[in-house]
Amino acid sequence: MDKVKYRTLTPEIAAELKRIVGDAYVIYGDKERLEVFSHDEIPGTEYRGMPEAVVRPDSAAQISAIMKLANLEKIPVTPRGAGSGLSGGAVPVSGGIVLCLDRMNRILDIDVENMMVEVEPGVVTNEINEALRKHKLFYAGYPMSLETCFIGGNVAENAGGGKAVKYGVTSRYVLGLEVVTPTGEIVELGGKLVKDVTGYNMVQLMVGSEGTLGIFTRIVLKLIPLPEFQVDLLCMFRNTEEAVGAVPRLMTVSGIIPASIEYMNRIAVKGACEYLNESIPYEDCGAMLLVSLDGTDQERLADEYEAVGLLCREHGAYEVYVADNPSISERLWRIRRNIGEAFNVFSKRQSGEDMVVPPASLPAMVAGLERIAERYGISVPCFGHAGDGNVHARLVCPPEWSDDKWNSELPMILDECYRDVAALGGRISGEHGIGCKRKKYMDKVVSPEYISMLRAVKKAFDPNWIMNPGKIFDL
Amino acid sequence: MNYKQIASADIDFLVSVCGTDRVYTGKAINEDFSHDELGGVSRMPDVMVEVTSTEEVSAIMKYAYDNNIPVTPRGQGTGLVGASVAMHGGIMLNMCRMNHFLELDEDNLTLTLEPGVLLMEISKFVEERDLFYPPDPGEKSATIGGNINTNAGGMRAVKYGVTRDYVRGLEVVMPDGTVMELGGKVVKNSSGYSLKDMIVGSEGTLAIITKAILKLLPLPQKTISLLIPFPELEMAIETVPKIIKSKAIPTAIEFMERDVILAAEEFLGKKFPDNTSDAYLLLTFDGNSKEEIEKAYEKVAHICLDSGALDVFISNTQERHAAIWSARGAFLEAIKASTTEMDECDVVVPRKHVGEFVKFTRQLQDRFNIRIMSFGHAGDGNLHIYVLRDQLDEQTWKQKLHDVFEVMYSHALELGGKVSGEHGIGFAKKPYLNDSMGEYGINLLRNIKLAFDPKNILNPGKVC
Repeated sequence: MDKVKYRTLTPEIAAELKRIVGDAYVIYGDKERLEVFSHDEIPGTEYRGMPEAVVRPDSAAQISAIMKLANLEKIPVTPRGAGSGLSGGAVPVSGGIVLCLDRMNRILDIDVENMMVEVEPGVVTNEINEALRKHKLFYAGYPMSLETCFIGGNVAENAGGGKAVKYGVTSRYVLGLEVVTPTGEIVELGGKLVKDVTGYNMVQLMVGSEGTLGIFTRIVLKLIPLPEFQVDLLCMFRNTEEAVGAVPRLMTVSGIIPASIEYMNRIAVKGACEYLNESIPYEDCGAMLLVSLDGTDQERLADEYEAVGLLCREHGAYEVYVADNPSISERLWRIRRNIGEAFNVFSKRQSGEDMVVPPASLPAMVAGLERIAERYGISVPCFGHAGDGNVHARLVCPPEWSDDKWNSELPMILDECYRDVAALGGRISGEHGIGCKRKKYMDKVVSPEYISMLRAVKKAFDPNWIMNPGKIFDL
Repeated sequence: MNYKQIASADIDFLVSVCGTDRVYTGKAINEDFSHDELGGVSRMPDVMVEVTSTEEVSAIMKYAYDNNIPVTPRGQGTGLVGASVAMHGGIMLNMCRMNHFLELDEDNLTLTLEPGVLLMEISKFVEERDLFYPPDPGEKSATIGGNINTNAGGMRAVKYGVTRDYVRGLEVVMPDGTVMELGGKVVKNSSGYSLKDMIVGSEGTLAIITKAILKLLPLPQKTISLLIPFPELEMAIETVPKIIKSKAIPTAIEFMERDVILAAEEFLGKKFPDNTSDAYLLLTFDGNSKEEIEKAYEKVAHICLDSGALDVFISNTQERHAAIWSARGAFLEAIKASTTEMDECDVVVPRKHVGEFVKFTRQLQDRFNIRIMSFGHAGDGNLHIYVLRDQLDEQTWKQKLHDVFEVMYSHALELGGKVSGEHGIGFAKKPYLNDSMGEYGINLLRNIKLAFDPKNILNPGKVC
């Protein structure tokens, strides 16, 4: 397939960018400052790319002007939020402009009557809920990197997070978008409407498009009443089969849908507890489930958590800790949230996975992963959203392996993992996206016709192929 | 557009795929296939084929693509915007024989089925097994394929959302005959654009759905309805945002006027529980225990009474519940029977503007001297407004209808609303889509259409 020829970003173009957004908001020619924008949170150096310029616009009009210029000059543009992604989606693999949305960080309108909030893409996701608390309203997206990630990035990746079991993923809450297209047009898609079949559904097409179809400049999110009470159960199991096997039963037998059902295997728990100096007795534990229940009725919640706790015990949990106040809850969730970081510190040579299978096939997927890990002699901490069938496995390189060995074995390991996932009706990414990291593996789970169709849709938006090129698929 | 005219060789091909019994031409095609439920537009297809499998659909699409023949897919023809009318003639694919349940997966809570299964068959099938498919459009004899193609909404959208929220996966045949699987039993997916969501609501213009995987829920064990009379419509509708804000989430919030109720009584030959007030809200609550539901509806009943409701009738028996909802289900037919011809507007506006918009449409009755009736989903901002022809002559009717629609759609747009909440654009609403999306927006839709269907042979003349 022939490559697109992009032009070099000349000093004249840099000057034009400065004219659009102001001198202070363009980084150009300063290698050290540009380097910060060359990667996301993927450990290691494989998925990196240096931008030629970083631009920090403050309005849709400025972004429109930048896109028109870039489209005319054939310069690639890569949108970027907080850079907390895990698939290389915000990495400028073809150079060009990184368009950083950190200045567009205003909460524009809390519309209590319609139960919606209107925000700019650079708002930190967690701040939305802080602003909503006094209205007793709630945005149900709950990505694990909540303290850092931007809502724009969440929408671009269709982030899932810890509460998707009960509340669904980001796409369910995005009702309207203002988008600047690759050719610089500003379009309004959807609106403050809870149902809308006017034309094709472009809002849902945009959600999860990884910044390849347009740049979001305004986002309308649906809100729900704040669930005021939460109880967390930490359930300890002797082994993975019992823990994961209990998950589908939890919901189908009890009829109760927990807000979260998070799974952590032994290696993951051990890693996080050592990293955090956490003293919970995990020594005999083969795997844990962290189950959260929430609601607005405290009595009903008490009934529910007793029922769920009992069910866990019936399905093999030998110990169930109950956290019914925020500080103990936070202690449990901290373990879960820090697993990723713990293993980043342990080794830079690893691959963070985001495979998703139908929920009932989760036990088969985890068993398959552990078999593959054993055969290759690597360790695989597994953790994640068991209730959704979405598990983050870290394939961690043994310290004694050479880089060459790791680099040659990893593709084979991934090949086998993804083949299993495909056979179970799954996909290679549940919430982190394909980006540049998983692009080469797309054909393991989807047909070439599907990929051609994605390309055709992209072309409909971006005739010159300048918007975040090199992500999801190649031209 | 230059399409190939159907010739005898084309009929021979279709017969070679489906046999003589399932290929209809000329007078053998029932007149019903020339229009949908609202009339207005009509055109006979040149040939109508009853397909029974994905392979047949794929073979026919490949042939049509190679020979540049337009194809219009059709379910039960219960649509309201002419989306399933063969505006360019050619081949009509009747999907109704592909009506099999394929798999109930009780571990993943999914149901896999063919597109021709009827909505009422789905609810019977799943409810017998204590499961629940929440979308509940008024027309129960519609096919699920049609519902997915219009992203049908229905009464329970306030609490449970619309059809899209329950479509996990699709098998589709592309305009060139390629068969593709989109989505699946996975509950989340960030692996490429969501083409599945693009197909949902695309009104048969992007691909033909041959299989669907639906998400199910456990069946709520108890349901009750409240019928709440108000002295006037505005007062009833102004109460809705207060109910929503109270955080008790009803399954449905419908509003209705006395005129519509009287029409329904006459049409069904059955009495509605009450017809003495000018306006009503109809609310439903569901849940797993009596206590849980009582708690929710008591709060709401008080809100209504404080806002001026005259009474609150609770229907907690299956019979009364059914009586109220069967009347609600007959509104469209009843209004239709009360006049000679009608057209409808299915706008959606932000929920807080529903009252204002309904008031506005009532004023149009006097301004244009024409009968206008409305009912709809107050809880989600989606209104069904009917303009009635009664005894007007053809020319006056066309002119008045045009003028009224112009004013209505542009006012909806001013309030941040859109042309269609759940019935779609099809053929009939295209002029208003242009107004609401602008030139660039329409071009974008057309580019997407061409990405799926480069020869524009699949259901041409619809949406954009």
